[in-house]
Amino acid sequence: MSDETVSAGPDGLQVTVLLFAALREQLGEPQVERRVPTGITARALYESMFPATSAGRMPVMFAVDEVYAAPETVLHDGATVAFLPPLGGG
Amino acid sequence: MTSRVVLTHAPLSEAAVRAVVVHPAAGAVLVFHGITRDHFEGRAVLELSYEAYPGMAEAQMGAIVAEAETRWPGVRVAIAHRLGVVPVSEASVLIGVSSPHRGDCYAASRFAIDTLKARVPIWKKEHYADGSAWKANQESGRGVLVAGTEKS
Repeated sequence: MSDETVSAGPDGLQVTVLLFAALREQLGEPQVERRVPTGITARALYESMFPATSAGRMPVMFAVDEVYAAPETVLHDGATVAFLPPLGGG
Repeated sequence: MTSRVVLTHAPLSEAAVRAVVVHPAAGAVLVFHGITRDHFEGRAVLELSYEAYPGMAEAQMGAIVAEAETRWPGVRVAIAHRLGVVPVSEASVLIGVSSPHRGDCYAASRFAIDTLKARVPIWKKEHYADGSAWKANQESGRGVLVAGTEKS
């Protein structure tokens, strides 16, 4: 994937990214560790890991540490961020 | 089952869900079954499977139980959701509700299933003879802070 677009400097953060459903299949992993720049938002990390294609980009919701979070949430060091594709439970 | 919230790969038990919510002061009990269908828009569905973000899904299910019980005093709610492959016509979700009177029972049951479809992080995949697809709920994201990145 596009590690170069989220290459962290010496002040970067370590985050865990959780993938589900179609995104998990697309990346081939349920969970990845990423070194990211300080100040990065959940949305920016998602967009860097899943570049838009001609079909656009899957709309997702975000969770940080198992709680829904706004797309512009700034990630903290050690955060677990989840990209949640449209839900299908029930 | 003794918990108000269950996420399991095993078949769901209506009797267990009912037992969690029934109590002597209850005058009504409902157990809603969401069951798997064998077709979608004319295509035969051979099998359905569910996956979850387990910790967050349980927390969200617990929040729905708490919210319903606050909104309708005297109501008790339990939610069980199955994961993995769910054969056609078996329950993927059970929602048990008891209340002193029937009106609140129907209202709380409807609230719980609608809110579950909007907020609980669980995904469903339909398998057809010629492929498969992740199916989203119309309610997905309703009432949640969100809508991330739109199609460009």
